[in-house]
Amino acid sequence: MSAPTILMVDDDPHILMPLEFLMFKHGFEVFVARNGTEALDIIDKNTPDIVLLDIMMPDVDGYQICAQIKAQPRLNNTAVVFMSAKSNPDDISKGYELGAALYVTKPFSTRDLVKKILDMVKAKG
Amino acid sequence: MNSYTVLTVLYFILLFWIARIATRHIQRLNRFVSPAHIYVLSLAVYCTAWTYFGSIGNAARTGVGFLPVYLGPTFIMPLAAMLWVRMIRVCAQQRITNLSDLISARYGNSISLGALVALCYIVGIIPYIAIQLKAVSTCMVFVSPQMEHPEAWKTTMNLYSTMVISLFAMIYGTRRTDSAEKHTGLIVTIAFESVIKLVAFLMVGFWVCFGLFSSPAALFDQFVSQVQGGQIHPFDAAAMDPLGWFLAILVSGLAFITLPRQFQVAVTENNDERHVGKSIWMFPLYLFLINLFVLPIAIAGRLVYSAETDPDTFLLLFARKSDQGLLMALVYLGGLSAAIGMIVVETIALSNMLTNSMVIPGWVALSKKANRLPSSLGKGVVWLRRAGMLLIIMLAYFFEHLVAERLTISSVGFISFVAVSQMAPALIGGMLWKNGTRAAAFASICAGFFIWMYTLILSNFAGWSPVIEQVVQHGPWGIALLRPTNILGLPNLDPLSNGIFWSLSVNVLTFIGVSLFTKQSAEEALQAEAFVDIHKVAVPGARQLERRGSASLATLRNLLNSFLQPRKSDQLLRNFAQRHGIVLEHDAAATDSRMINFTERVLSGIIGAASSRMLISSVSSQERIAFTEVLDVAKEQQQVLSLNNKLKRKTSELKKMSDDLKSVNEQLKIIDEQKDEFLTTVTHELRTPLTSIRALGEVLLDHDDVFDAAQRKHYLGTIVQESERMTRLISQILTLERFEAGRYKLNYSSFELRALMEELTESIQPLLEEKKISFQVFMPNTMVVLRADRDLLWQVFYNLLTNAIKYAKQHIHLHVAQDLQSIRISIADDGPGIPAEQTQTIFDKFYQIKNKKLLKPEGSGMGLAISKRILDLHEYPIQVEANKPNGAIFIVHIEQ
Repeated sequence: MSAPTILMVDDDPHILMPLEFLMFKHGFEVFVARNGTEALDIIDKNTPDIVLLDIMMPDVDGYQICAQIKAQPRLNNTAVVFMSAKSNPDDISKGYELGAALYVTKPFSTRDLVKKILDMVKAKG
Repeated sequence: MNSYTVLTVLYFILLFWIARIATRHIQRLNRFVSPAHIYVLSLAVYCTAWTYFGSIGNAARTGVGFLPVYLGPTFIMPLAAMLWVRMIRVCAQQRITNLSDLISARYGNSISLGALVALCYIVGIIPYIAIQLKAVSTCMVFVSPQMEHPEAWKTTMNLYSTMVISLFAMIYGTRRTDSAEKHTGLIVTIAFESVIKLVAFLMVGFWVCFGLFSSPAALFDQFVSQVQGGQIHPFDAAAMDPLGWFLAILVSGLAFITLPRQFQVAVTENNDERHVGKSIWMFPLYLFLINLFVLPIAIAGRLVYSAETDPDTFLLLFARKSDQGLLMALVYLGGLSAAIGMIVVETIALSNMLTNSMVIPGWVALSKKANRLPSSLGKGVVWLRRAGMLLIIMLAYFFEHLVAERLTISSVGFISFVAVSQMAPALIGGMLWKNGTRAAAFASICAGFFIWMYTLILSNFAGWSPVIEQVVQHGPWGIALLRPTNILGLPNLDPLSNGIFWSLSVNVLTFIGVSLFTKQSAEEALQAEAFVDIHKVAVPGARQLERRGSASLATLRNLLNSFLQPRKSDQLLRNFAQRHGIVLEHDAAATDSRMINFTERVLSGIIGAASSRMLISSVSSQERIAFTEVLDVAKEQQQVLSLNNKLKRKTSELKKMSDDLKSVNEQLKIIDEQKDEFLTTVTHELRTPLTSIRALGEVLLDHDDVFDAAQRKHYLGTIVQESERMTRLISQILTLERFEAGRYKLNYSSFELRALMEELTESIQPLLEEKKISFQVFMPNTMVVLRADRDLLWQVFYNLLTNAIKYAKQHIHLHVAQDLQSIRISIADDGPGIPAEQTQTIFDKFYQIKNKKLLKPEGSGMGLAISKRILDLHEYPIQVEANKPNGAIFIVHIEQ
């Protein structure tokens, strides 16, 4: 079984640092992007299993990236996880409507998040 | 038979003839003479034998002392005109034809008040009529040749002329039953007489001034020299007393309004309101013309005739002296006209009052007691009036024989004027003041009249009884202060002025005083409203509301038949019903209330409003509540109207309040939204560093074994850094909040700019080195001293510099320029610059956060906002030059 791939997108480097470490520790192939353009670039070239998306980003926001992912049949199996300080019920339901598998509000527990991601991967089989 | 007898007879025939054709052919007549002129000339019935003879007599004694009688009407013309128009309307509406009816109607159709007024008028004017009769006989005697028994001749002539005059009045003063009909013939005759009077007077005047004497100047010169030479007495100086003049003018003006003959011609006989307007200037013109030669003739008379000659006769004497037959005839006829005009019109008016206010009410009251309709009145009303005229003239005739020999025209005239003036407060007050009450009118007329009798009449009867003599000489009960001719011993008041002053003042005060303390009955209030608001009441017969009750058609017809021909009354009723779409059923059925009102109106014209009302109420079953109810309805309507207005005002006030509230609400909504946005953004901004802190902390905790020292250091360092970032954000938000809430107090101090800049340069060194940006400072050599809050300004420039560094590629510079009034500090970078449209919005809080499209260097985005607030507090404007793409320049202006 090849290592699951995860793409993490956030314009704040300080959050990517611990998350990168954690996913790497759990045997993921980790891609990071600091903005939407970079993220889409990586998506084009790869088929990540999980995409961890911040929403508020300078150029393309997380919602748009999610929409683009879900529009591509090639990426049917890619699970999108939103992580955002936006905790409005409207924001959350928008995320799920766009097809996210999970929406996590910042600040979150890394332990929790990692566990959920591992579950998702296991479910995919 | 002498020629003058013939002339007299012819003249009378002429007068009758004029009256007759005028009645028939008034339309044709109006093509030659305008009705307005006829109206004004009829007003000249004011000029009686008093004008013709009395004025000259007065002038001969006192010079200009005759003028007040003519100044009064002249001055009061505007008021009179205004009152007349109102009276014309009210009288038309309520079918009022004389003054006693008017006053009685105004004060609630009071019969007793009407009777009082009629009585006062009769008592006050009979002497005046008597004097006119005397003038007539004087004229006639003057032109008759010497007779053996002059006294008998005089008496005969007197009697005959009196009879003829009565006849004229009876025929042309009561043509029809309905006295609301105009007496056109009478009026035209009066106008004609006024012309004769004027022409004759002017002609004699001209002859005296330019015929007898060479010119008016010569006449005056001669008079003056003779006075100075002592040959003639100078004028009586007492006549020039200002108070006396004022009172005389006042009483003449009031009499002009209250004299029955003036009311008759000005109001009752008026056909067109517009004539009143014309009379305002035309009538004073007539007065001026007719008085033009009074003084010259008087002076000439003094010069030419001896001191014993009765100056009243100067006019006649001069006419005779001229030896011009035409002139003599004209003056003779003029004198007759002056007297006859007055006698006829006054008699008609007085008789009208007598019948309507005294006789008929009495008759009706008697019939009521006997419980039958006054059916025996019938067309007797007309004959009743005629009898009244005869009675009055006879009374005057007898008065003349008894008393008038000793009295001058002028003094009797004035006494009459004062008597009729007693009606002025009640009349004029009633027309203009709604609060005048019946009780007040009654009291004031009684009081005034009593004082009139006491001060002006009593002394004439001193010879009749020692008691009266005693009172006149020493005052009642010996109280000298109450002597009739000089009450309270006021100085400078001759007996006439004394009478005028006291009677009028007590009258007016009583009227006002009693009005304030008495209440009006419902009917009075309604009438007061109808009279005073006559201009507002457009609907005739506004009193129709009041009638309730029923009467059968037969009853109404019978009532009218008492006064009119059966055919006529039937016709009136049917015409009215037809015009108003009322169906007349058979005789016994109760009729529409409008029919009853109409019948009442018709009767009012015949017998006066008060009696008519009495009759109607006696035949229809009345509910007397009607009046109060009407008043209540009227009051209710007024209340509703005023409530309506109040509601309208309240509604608009409420609307304004609601609009205000809406806008405040809008503002609050905006503030609320802003607050929400603020909270969202702040929480977001706080959550972001917290996320890193937590994540880093958890990882360190859970996987510490894997971390080497360097990594650990890195993680911990980041934690600290992020914590600091949060702290900074929180402080900045709090600071900004303090600035915005106005709680920040600037801490002013004077400091040198150079030192500040040096500190700043030092503090940004690490950043400069990190980003490898070069920094240049340009400052003037001179000392630049600022007075501001040093710490805050430090923050501002620190913020601007660090921003510049953030965005700069390679260079930033700071430039200080100073001129006389201000200092300019500019900070520029060579970065990408700022889009022009955003040069103001960059100072918004969270600008950076909201506009994620920008490059986002480290920072909370609050720096510029805080800097702006600090600069605002100092009132230093900041300017942004969007130097795209060569970088942005921030310029701070500091006023010295």
